[in-house]
Amino acid sequence: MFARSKIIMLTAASASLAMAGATTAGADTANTGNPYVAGDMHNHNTCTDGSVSVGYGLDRVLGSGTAAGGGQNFNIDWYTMGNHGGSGNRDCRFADTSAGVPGETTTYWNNTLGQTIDGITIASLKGTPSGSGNSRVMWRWQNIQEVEWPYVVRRSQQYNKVIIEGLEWVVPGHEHADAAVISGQNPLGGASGVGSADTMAQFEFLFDRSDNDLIGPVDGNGNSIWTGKIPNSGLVGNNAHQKSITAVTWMQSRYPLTSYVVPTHTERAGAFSLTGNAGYNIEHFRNLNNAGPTVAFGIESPGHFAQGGTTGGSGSYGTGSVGGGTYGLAGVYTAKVGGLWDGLLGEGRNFFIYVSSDWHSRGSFGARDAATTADFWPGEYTKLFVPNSASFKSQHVIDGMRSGNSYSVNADIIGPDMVYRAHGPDGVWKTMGETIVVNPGEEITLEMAVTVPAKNNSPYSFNNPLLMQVGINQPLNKPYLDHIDLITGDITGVIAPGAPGYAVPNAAGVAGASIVYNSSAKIAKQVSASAMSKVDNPDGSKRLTFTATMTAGTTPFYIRSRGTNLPPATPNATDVKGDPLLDTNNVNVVCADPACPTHLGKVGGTLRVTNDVQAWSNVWFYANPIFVRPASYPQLLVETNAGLAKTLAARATRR
Amino acid sequence: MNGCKIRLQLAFTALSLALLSGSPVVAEDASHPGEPTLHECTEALRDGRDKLSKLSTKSLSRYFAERFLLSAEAEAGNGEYDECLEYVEKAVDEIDNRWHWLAPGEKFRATTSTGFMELSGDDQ
Repeated sequence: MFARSKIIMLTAASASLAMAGATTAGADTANTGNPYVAGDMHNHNTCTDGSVSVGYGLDRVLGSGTAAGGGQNFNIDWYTMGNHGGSGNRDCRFADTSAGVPGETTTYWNNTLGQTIDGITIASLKGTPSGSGNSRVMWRWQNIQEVEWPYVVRRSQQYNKVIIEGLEWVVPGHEHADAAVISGQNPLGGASGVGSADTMAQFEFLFDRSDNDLIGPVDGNGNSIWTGKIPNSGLVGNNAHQKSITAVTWMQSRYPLTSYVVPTHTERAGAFSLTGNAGYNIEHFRNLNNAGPTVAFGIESPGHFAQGGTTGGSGSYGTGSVGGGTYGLAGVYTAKVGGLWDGLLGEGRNFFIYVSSDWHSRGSFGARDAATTADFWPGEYTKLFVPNSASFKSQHVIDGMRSGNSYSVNADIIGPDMVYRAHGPDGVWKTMGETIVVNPGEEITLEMAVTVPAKNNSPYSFNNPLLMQVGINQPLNKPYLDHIDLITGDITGVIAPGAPGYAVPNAAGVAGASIVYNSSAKIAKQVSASAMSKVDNPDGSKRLTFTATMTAGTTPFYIRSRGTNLPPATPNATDVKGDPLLDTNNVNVVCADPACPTHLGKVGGTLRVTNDVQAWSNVWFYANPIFVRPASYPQLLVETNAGLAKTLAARATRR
Repeated sequence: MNGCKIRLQLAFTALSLALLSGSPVVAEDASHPGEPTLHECTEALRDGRDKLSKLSTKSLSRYFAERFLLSAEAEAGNGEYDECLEYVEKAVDEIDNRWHWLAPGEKFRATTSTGFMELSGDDQ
């Protein structure tokens, strides 16, 4: 049951203010279980540019306790493998020497052909030969089929967890995207066997910008099985983008409910380029969503959370990224109120935010070290939550993501039992991704509850240097929530392709941070944790709840939420409204505690808030929006596309 | 874990040698004008190593820069030449600016496959 919540007056776009005296109805999720499950869909191993082997990586992520050779396991609930498309020259049954895994050294496919290792025998490198000596590569489609998939099957059954064979798609015309096609994948087994990851491999072969193999798998007569590949050669700019649209159309037509494409670290490569392959502009996300209404439904903010050095670089974002770096460890498309995400939501689109680790390596440390100057393990720092289910399957991962009923959390600032929902006069609760239909003047009640865990995975118990600036002494390994923002924006309808405002000029660097895509978006209410009802739990965690009420106007709108440990006007971290500053500013803060680790960058002889200390200090979560529509207003696109998914599901069930 | 102190060694991987040998690529040539190439990555790695070799083996910056170069090699092996160049750039920035160093009494330790490596505050 919710504790009696404090009533928060909410200033919502298109909603008149109302102070209501009602308390919340009971929500039965408070600390009674995990209504959401944590996962990660973007990560790497030595099959591409990661540092650890497939098997070792899976064990560290899926296992619990301490690994046999040392290092914490992270016991994630579900896991989607997310290696790049293209090719790789390392035998990924072995870790890289740099990872410091006992008994493992960098090994190449050239060294091991014909050998049976971990029960897998690679007899030959298939497709178009590429490279020689230790640079001979295995194309990723073969890798997916013959290397990663057997590990997915084995570890799925060993841990009895959902593991998906996915991909970090190198997108024609653009940077990268998380992608998966789960049709055919049944690694836990059953009457029809374990299936295969062939559809995932086929997508990679046909559409990846780095997969330049022109043969693919062949039949008994040596003929290519997967036909229709559009060669990458010469494809740049709009022509390349068109190939990415063809790819999404392929997914939408064949696997509308069992696949997804989620562009990732979308700001990193700068703006879209007409003459190369670079970043994305808002029109490209609109094109993708139009082509794949049930498969291209969002973007991912960057991982690489510990890469921030003395000159920036957190999230792997350099000064040439759109925004010039990260903001609260998120890309500016996500972090800026009124930014690109709000622009898409302002159309009423089903377009949601996700975050994953982008795990590659520990940088200057080994894979078993608790410190990192590069990446966190999946489940260590960032968690992508999707709804739990009595019989959780890979389909539930995609269903949860597609529905928008998901949220992304860094450093365990909140736990797996968030409640974020609202209702109108009918009393029917709607949550993230759903739409409340009301009449103008009717009251909407919004309810939010979060658990702030007692601890996170930080190895540091010294006080947060960013918070010490404002007189708050808070150990880095103990999560702390300062406030939650309720962010609203008007929905003014879908913009048609080619219509004014559909394409918006973009800019690399800090100039990109000033672009406003939805001027109505604002922090409608900032709710301090101290103003919320609090229940101290026996395990040291805290359950915080609040309720807000608003009155519907004549324009549809959305309400999204984010929270942070940083108060507004924290020097070098947030502005007076509470928006995150460019994270490079964190470097201005000295890490002065005697326990501050020596791997932090030094400026003027002092250690600075960089790398993993920056990540543990600058903590945020993001929750997807709830939509509100007046009854007289046409259905929003998010409703139409949710209806399409429902229709497709019903059709699939009837077959 | 047995605490064997290992002197930092800057042995380059076989991949480095493979890259430096200029391996032929016979798959579709999908390179585009203005986009980084394997050749550029290989050249940058060579230059980075040259600069690296001028730092003391006791230098924490040298260790950090070497790790950046290892990441650059991994990116090259995956065909991500733009990211290869970015990591080389980070290595050179580390070498040029010495963002990491150990004052007297400070230590840096990282695990290796056989134990750990340790540097102490004598890298000035």
